[in-house]
Amino acid sequence: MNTIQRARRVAESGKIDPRRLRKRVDFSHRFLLFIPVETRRSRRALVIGYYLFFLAFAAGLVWLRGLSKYDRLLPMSFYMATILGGLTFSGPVRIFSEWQRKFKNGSAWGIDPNRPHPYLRGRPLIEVDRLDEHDIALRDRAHYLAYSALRWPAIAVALFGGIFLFDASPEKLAHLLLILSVPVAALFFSLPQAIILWTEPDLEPDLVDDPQSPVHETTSGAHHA
Amino acid sequence: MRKTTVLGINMEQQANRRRLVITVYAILAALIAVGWFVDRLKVSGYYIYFAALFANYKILGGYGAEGLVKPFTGKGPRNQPMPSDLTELQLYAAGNLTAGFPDDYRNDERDLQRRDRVHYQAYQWICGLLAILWLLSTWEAHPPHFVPAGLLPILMYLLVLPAILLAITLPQAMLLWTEPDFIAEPEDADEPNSRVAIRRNTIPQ
Repeated sequence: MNTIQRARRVAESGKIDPRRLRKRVDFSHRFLLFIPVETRRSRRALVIGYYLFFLAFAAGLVWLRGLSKYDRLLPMSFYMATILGGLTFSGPVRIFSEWQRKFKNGSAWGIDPNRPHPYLRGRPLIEVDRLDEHDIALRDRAHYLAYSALRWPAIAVALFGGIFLFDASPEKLAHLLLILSVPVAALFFSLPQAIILWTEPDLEPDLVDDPQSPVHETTSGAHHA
Repeated sequence: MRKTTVLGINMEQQANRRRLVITVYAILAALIAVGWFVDRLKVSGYYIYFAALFANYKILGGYGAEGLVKPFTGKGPRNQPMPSDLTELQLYAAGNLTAGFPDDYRNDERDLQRRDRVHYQAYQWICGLLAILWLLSTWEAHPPHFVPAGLLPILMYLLVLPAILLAITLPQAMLLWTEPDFIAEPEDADEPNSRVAIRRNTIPQ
């Protein structure tokens, strides 16, 4: 039994108020397709599998349909990255963008649970968990690491690309840019999510401290009332 | 921020830093325009990249040991300056002083938070620019009837250069743009040399 099932069972047994279980894991996204994402090990396997699959998919497309269909991979890089989450509401990584969240829960349209819009009065609003400090720090950190990693290929292309493309015509240059843009897009859309999935520890639900029953624990391990 | 002056101009004021950012991008834009008219950026494009790297390392900072913004990695330069006094020299010889003046390069929690946040924001901007580029790439493969075919490669070429220039400089520029004015830290009253303590000591009993 994993930690989430254990926490669920404890919550269902009535010993702990379920409201005290602060969810960091979205239970609806415990699985990505059929792969569990609760442990770091499975998530790392998932990340490796994702990039291997994309590589195989790209190679297969070029092999079967030729380079003329290569540009189809560009939107595919986005759609496949949405599987990991972050960009849309699907996937195990929570959505990054705050404005997308606002569009989803209606606050961008002036629809607020406290001030319901007349049109939606009486209708249930879609609840979207807010990003807490940890989520925001994790998101920003992942983007910093992804940016730092992708910055070097950009500089390399800028400095060394000109050597190979010195005499290239604009048409040839545009064709080469298209070929280069697919791996860039694949990495650009998916790298922050992959970093989060790779680095996050095993998921455990947090128990929110109950202010009614404080537990004072000293460093020596002795308990006080 | 590590340094507070660039070319003798005080950068403690946000307005000055914003002027600096505008100036850097205006110079780069002017170089692109000149390069386009000179040789369609074939050779001059190189010099523009080097100009951006120079501005990045010497003025903006962040991804280099010099410049206004502290190094994002928190590491000092590899070549340390010579020790200025005997104590420093002894510490250096004993291996206890290897990173020069660590406070000049080390990022505190706020610096790290700001660094990560501006990179997230810069990522969104670059993503928008790349989306346009990818749209043009797709159009280049299957040109629509309303866009002249000869125009697309030129547009792509003209977009790649600013995209790379922005990728090199944008987070540091955003950091300089958004940081508020520097406020002098109040002196500690407990310090014996502080102004308040001196004044207190001079009050006749």
